[in-house]
Amino acid sequence: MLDHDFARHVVTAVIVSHDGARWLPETLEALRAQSRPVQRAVAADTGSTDGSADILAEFLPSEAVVEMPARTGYGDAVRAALRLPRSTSAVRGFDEDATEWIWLVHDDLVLDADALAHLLAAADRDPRAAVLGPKLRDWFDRRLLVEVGVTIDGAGRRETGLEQREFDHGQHDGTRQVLAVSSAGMLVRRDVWDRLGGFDPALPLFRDDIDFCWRVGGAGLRALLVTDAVAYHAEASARRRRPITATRNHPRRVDRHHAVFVLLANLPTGGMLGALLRNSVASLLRVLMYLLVKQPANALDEAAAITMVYLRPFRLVRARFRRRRDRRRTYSAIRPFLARGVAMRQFHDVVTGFLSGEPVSNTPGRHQAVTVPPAEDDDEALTDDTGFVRRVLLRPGVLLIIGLTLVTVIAERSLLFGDLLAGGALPPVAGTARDMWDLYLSSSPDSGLGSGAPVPPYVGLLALASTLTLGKPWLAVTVLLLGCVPLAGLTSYLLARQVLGFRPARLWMAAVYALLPVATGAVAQGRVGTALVHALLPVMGLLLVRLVSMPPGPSRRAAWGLGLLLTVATAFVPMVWLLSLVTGLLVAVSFGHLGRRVYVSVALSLTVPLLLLLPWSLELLLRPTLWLLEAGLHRPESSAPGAAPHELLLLSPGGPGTPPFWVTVGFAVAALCSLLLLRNRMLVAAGWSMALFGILVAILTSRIVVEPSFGGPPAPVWPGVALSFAATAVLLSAATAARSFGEMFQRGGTRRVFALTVGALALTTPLCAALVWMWEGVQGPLTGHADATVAGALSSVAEDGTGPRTLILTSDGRGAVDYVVVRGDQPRLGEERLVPEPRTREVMDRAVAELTAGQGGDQTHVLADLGVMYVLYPRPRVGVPSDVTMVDTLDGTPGLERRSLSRHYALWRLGTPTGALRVVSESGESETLTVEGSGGEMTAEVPDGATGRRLALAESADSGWRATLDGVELTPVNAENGTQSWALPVQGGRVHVRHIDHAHTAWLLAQGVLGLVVVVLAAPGVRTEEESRLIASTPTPRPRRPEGLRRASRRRAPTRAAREGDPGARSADDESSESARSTGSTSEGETTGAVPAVRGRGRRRGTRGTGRRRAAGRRRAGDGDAGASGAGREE
Amino acid sequence: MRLIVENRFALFGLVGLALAALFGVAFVVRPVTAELGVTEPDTVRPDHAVRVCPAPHGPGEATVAAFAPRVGRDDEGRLWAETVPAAPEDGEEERAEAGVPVGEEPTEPGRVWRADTAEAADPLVIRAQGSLASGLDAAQITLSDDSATEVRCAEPSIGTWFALPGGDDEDGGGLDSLTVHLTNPEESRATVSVDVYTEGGPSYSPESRGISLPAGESTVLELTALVQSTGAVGVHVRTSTGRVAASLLAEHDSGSGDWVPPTAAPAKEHVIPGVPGGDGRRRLLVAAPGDDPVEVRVHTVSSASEDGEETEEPAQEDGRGTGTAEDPTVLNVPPAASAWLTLESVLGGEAGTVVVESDAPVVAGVAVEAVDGEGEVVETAYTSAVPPLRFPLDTTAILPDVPEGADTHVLLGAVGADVTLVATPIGVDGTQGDAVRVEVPAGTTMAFGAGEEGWRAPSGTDSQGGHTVRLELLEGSAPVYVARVLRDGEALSVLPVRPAPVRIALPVVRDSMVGVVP
Repeated sequence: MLDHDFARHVVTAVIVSHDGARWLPETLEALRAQSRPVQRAVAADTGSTDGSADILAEFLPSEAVVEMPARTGYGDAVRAALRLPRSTSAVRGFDEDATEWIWLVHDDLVLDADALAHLLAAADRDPRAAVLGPKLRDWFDRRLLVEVGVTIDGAGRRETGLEQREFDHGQHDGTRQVLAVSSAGMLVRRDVWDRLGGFDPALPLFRDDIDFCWRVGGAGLRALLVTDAVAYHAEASARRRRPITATRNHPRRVDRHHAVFVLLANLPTGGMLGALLRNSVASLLRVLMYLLVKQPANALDEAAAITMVYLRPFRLVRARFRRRRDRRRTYSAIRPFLARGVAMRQFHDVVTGFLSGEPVSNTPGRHQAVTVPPAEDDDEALTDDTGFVRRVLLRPGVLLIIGLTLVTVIAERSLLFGDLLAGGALPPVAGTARDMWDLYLSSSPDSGLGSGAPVPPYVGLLALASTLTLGKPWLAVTVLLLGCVPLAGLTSYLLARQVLGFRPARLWMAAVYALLPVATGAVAQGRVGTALVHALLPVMGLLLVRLVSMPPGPSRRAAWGLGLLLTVATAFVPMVWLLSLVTGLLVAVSFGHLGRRVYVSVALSLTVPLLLLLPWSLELLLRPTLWLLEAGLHRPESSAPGAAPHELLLLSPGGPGTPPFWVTVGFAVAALCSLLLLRNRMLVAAGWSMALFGILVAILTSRIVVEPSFGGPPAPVWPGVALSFAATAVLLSAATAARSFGEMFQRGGTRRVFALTVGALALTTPLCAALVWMWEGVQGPLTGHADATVAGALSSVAEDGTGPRTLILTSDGRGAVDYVVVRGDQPRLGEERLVPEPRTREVMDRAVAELTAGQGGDQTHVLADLGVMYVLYPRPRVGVPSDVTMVDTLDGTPGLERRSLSRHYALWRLGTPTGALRVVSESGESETLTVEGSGGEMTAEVPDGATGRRLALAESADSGWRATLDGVELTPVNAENGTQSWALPVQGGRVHVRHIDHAHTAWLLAQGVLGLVVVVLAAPGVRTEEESRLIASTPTPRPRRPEGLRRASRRRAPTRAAREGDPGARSADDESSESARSTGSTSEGETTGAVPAVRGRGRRRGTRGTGRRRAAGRRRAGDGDAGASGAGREE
Repeated sequence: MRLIVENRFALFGLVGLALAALFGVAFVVRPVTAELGVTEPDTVRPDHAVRVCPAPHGPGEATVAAFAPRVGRDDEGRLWAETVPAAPEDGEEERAEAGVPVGEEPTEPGRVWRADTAEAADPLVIRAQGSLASGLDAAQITLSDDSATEVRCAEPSIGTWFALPGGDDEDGGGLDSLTVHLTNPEESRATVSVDVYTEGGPSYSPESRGISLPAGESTVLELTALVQSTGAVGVHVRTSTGRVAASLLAEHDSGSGDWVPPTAAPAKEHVIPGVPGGDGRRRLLVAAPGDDPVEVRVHTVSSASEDGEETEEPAQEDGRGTGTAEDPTVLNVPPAASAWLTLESVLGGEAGTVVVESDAPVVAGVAVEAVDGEGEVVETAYTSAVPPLRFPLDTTAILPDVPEGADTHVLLGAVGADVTLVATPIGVDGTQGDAVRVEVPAGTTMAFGAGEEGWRAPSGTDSQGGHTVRLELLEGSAPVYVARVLRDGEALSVLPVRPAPVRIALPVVRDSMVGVVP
């Protein structure tokens, strides 16, 4: 039967080779060894330079081989080979009406011996099958599936329907109709080939197979995938394993261009337009993404590919015309075979891969072949962790984060679901992202008394964060502040995963760090700055490790990233920069021997924040107290009195929301016990030095009372960030020691008791902290249900168009008065640091002081000049007749009329109407104008009036203000209280007032561009294989250990120890810095302490097998010199 | 290094030591608070001042004198005075002419400004700007044959307190009439209420509540009916809108009428200077506005020598104490009411200063009666609690007018510690006389006046015009309570002297959202 059937098929194998000498012999052998031999074999060699032609000549007669130029496309090469007389020569023993077949064989394709037999058998079973293709597996790893039919989706993605690195267990078996099969091993009916003209010459390489099969399908025939037939494909061209000369262009560009071309040429008109639109947008996005991950070549390819489609419309028209001619079936016959939802699946893969820590290799077009022989430890891939739940949710890190989130939600039950978040250092989180952007970007923010100094950049960063959270600042603040604990848990776990090998130690470290008193205190006190820095510090540590341990490229990238994070952290808490400066110096000193690049990287990371934060960073230099403050309000309620000495030593910064001091005792004792172990002494010592330094900074700063230059009561500095820094160092050294835990436990005896005791002690801290926090909830000034300060009635009168402002006075109970000017809306986050022009501020200060002191005078004129129409006194204390309250004082102020008095607020109105823009007559009478617009751009109608009148704007005078009356520029005149005003002619008209500040715009532009550049430079980028190998081969750096110093330190050691033994003789400052320096000279700082262990992660998945290398490190750890290096590799 | 590496306990010990050292540092620096950029309360030289002198009462020469000291060489400003018309009665159409200018308009401080107001029927408002506004003090003296009364020109305020005897006096003789003179010199309307605290509790009439006083008008309110059946009265003139200047005129049934000086706002401690010596009753009047009964402890600081006190009879029959600091006389005041106490036995005819301490805020004043040989009351005077002259700001006071021909002296009460001050007479034309230094020992009241032992009018000035005296506390001196006493024959007037500071303190003010964020 079979024999008989075979006689009805004449098969001509067509081999096209191009620089394929590496694979070609095997290919030809396999072809020769087919159980159902081919009748004819022809070959085309397209200008090979590696001897492929000679190999062909060994296997085939010379008249069966045609030489073609190097630039010949695949389809052309096939056609050329088929033009050879050999390809049509008669074959004896076959029927006259035998079906002629062409079998396309790539030079990097090994065919299974039964491949042809199975293909032909399938062809027999389905008379309409015109194209048949085998199941493709990988050349090197012959278990791996590469293709079981291909299709294309609306965005031109080549889709095989296979998982990453999927092994062939027959799960995709079953002969079936597909959209297309690969040209590798494709068996085509010769008459169909001839009728359709073969592969489109416009597609010299890539996608020619899909296009051809689509046309076959359109002609009413079928493309069949025959899974019984197997071939092994190296995908040499697609994987760039050989130079491609068929087109001048880069394969990716060609591939992308062809993908779009195929879609556009074959889809019906409506679909074509849709596809054109979709692909244009998608290309744009991809270009941006490639730029972001610093693959400019790919970006160029992508851009060029789509551009080429647009540049050659006629080619497309021709192609469409030809396809219409051949078409026998409508699009509905093709449609079921097109791929859908590919993007979603890829996204899911990436997310899952990221969450489960498995790298997702970037396989463009999903050509999935491996290109280097697989490593021997690939057995791992046979694990069964396939489901999303198992792969992602059950990982210890993820479980930890979920646990922390639960703890947080329970503890913060009073804060969630409120309508207005405010309290402590956090101003009311109201408004939208747009308001925040206006505040940051406008040269004259429409807020308070205006701004005469740079707006702090954290406002811009919060605006950015709010934009990312769909324009809702409350969401951004909720994530950053209320989510600080799980976020810190996540980042510290990432750091721990990088530097610690012992998994329980990782979890312990992450949990302790996340639940430190600093974190809970920051939440309770509304310190969004500390919360953010607490979460960022571990990431900065991680990047520092990379900076030191990676090869130059990734190291520099880490330096940019570190600079970027440091910028963010510094914008919120400037103190971080000072701590980083010290750390950076230590790193530079101890790793300077790695080359100049370390100096450059460190300098880069430290300079980027200062540059990016310009011009605000100049403020930092001009007003040094800003270094000690952080984002938000500074007030004594949350930091006075400062923490007790023992609290500071136990890493508790004091103030509302910090747990009882004994919570961290267990952790502190355990950390001290880790000092008793003889392993990694230098690391532990270095970590402790940094910790002591951090605590010292915390102690000293917490005793400084600062009155912020931007206004606010004097209050002690809150040492949260310095303690976070110290905690990171202590945790790293303690967790490093935790490695010996298991070993000590196994040894038994007193060691086991010791290990168990210390372990139990260490565990008390996270458990107690979580329990105490959950039990007590967040008890601090921060509340989720803050009262709106500005009365509703007031905000509605503020909308009458005149833009009246309100002065809110509050007494702090100690004789001082705080005031804030609002513009019809309640004071909100971002406005707390706006500093008005000095002159305006002085005038207003004086007016408010005299107002509250009950001095009769002309304060109301000052208020009117500044546009203040209402005076609000919230929560008034209506006293007994015997004492005089603020209400009485203001009642008695001439020119103020009381409008209302209730438990919530007392409100006065100025006798004379005022607003944002007024016309003031020569005699001082003023008339308020109804304005359109606000802030830096206003228009209003001015009536006719008398001579000598002026237009008064309730903003500080500066050269940026311009006013025009019906297009005619007005002349500025001096006003009494430093506000802006212009001389106004007799005739009225339409005035247009605007603020222009080119310097401000230039600063912002420079900041934006610089920021973008740094982001691009810092973006992680896709790690190429070469890079991974480079990283794997980079040795872990050791800190500098010059021979001279080593001898010297050895000689000096006893005396130093003796000196340090006498605490009275030396100040603690000296001591800690000295010990930091001395240890720095040998094993160096906290960083190295924990550094190492980056290499080799590139290919290895997860953390399996890390235990194997422990022994080696451990053996060396005995002698101190090797301490650092031992730890280094121990991962 | 090697030690650290090899010895198990070396590192532990070192870190332990370092932690102990840190603890030490933290402990030692704990009380240290280095303050950075903390704003101190500011002071300001006021550049606006308004004083209202009530229309003079009764016949006699009435003179208003005002004085503002010169502080810097370039000081200049403006001072002018005008009358404030009375508010029109209901139905009365025509209004008195507003703002009739009175007197000169000086532009430089350091000279005495005088105006004769004998004929005036309306209150006079003195307005000052620039340097003339700081340290300004003004007073009006009315001298007639048998009476003298002096009133300090009042500053408009939201609340003014008075303490005085009522209309019903057990020894016969009380107030004939009591009128409060209200003036609103500001540019906006004022609403005034007058609360009266009698011995029996609060007392008010519809007329005394919610008096509306338009800008630039004055009015007189009769309170006699409210105080008829009480021996002591506390009066609180307060505004619910705007500010008024309030002066209180009490006419005794002996025929003498006097302005009652306003007393300090309710507090737990008061010092009332200037109880003159001589015969006649000296009554302390206390009013407690709070809702609780108050125990008031009273003692005096008299001009008598230390041994003089031993002649005092110990313990009065009702066990009220002897009136010394160790054993104060006790007075109980019912809630929201007033009470009084005689001081003659405690003072024993000496001039003195009364110290009042209580466990809840009260107001206090002293009424003085001068008697002739037969014990008939011939003249009355009132004094009240005032703030002392003290550092840092309230170091100067002005006696705007020391008329020629009358006996003027000041009573200096040094309650706590030794006091040193300097009195400088200044002529009408600004010439300064010889400064005289006075020392008052702690715990005494000293009389100090013009003449041989006191200051002399600056030579070469017009002797008719009288002069001004400026009192200045010297560095290192304790607070002193001052009152001036004016005697002219039987006529007697007492005026407690308030400090007239050149600079006043302002609260610390901060442009910050802190107050509105919970």
